[in-house]
Amino acid sequence: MEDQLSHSEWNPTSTPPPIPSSEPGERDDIPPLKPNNWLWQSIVATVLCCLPFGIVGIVYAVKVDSLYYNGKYEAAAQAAGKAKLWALIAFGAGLLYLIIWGILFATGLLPDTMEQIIENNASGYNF
Amino acid sequence: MFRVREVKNHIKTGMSAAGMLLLVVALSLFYAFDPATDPFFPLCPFRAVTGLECPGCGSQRAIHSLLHLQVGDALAYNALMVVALPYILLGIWLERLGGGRRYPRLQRFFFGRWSALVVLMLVLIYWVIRNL
Repeated sequence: MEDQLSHSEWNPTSTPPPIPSSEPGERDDIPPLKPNNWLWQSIVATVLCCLPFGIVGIVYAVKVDSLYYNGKYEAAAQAAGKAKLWALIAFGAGLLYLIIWGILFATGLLPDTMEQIIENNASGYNF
Repeated sequence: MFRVREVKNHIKTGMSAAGMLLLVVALSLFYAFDPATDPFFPLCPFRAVTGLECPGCGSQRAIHSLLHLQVGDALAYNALMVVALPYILLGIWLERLGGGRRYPRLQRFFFGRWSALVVLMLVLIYWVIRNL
């Protein structure tokens, strides 16, 4: 995780950004719109379920922004695709886990270990 | 061409309606039942396997507490979730409900260049701290 983070830091070897360090809108040249980085969706996935996939989504959101503001618009768009993919994987995994949990619970097949955790550690409930 | 778009719009509307319905059902469940005492709420897989708390652990109990207006309890269960909630709602409003077009400066401030990095840092720090 730390590794990915350092890769997404500003890369000085790249071509200089067309709009150095200024927020978009100060000078209206023609960079494409910043691709959606799926940040809030990834936060939902991280906080409400689905670890660790939500965090992967946030990492890609960081990449989208850092690439975009360094002028690497194509790479940013690619990272945005991955951010979306991981957010969706996170929600899918969460849904799948929920369904499996529901089936196991309904049929009384929840593994003994799980039930032990439930009985011994009532404060441990969450998802 | 137009037909396809129309159908897509219908599907989108249907999906958001289904989503809203699910949300209402889920919130009523979380209001009526306490995840701290009722065993049918799913356990965090990360916690079940490692014994450590993930950044999302406690969210179910925190939602239950919030729905009963016990903010202090909610913060104790999962402060990150409580803090993230208004931020998520802001994000939905800015991106999906037209808020971003009307208040671009607000969007730039909260979802601008550094926001994702700040969020990542906060999540990682919270993850470490709550397990110390």
